[in-house]
Amino acid sequence: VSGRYGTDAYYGSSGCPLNASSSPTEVKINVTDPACARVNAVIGPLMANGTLSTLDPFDANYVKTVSGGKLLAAIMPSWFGAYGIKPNYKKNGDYAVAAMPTWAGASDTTSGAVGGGLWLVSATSGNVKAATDFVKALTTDEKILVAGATYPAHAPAPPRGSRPPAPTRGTPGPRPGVRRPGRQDQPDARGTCATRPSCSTRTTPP
Amino acid sequence: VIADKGKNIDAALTSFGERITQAAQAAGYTVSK
Repeated sequence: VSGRYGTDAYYGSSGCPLNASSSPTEVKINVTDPACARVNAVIGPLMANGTLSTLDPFDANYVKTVSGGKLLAAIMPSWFGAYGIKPNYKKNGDYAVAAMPTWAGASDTTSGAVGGGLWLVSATSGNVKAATDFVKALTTDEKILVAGATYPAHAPAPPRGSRPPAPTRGTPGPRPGVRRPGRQDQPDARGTCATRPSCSTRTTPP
Repeated sequence: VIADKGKNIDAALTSFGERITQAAQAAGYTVSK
């Protein structure tokens, strides 16, 4: 339950209006809403008894705990397997995915956060229209979305002890500061890594 | 801010709400409840 990830994941999934913007200049903030209070009732006791960590998932102490096999479950974005667990936790292949739990009355499985990123076009850009068209294409074109990073993210986990499946398409998740894997990280056309030193044919179920 | 290890999460969230409200208003947002 860190500021960057967990807070919005828990409160956001419940529909708590922490930052419910209705326009570029209006926002609803009401932490006394019942949708917030019910989250307090669930995660408060879990934090108090140490079940729920308050550390950032990239915090060194959290990584150490997870690497020690003490992570039971977490709300994470689809890219976290390839770019969070795999490089940091050293428990490749030990995790599977499940549908996002829902709060009472919820009609979908919205996680509230950590599922994507934002694209901005500067008003001072020399070509605002072209930049806007580019962003629209990247975020709405079905061909591009199908080939998006770490998707599909819900493939079945391999049987215990078996070799994980070869990676699907995948370049990088949106976390800042992480080197974005490129072509050199992917198996070549023959499905091997012989010609690409940093490539891996293994992957981690998110 | 939310944490305090969960011991007083209601107060922590109230404080958090006050801070983000102030920040939103300082940024020019119209804030409603």
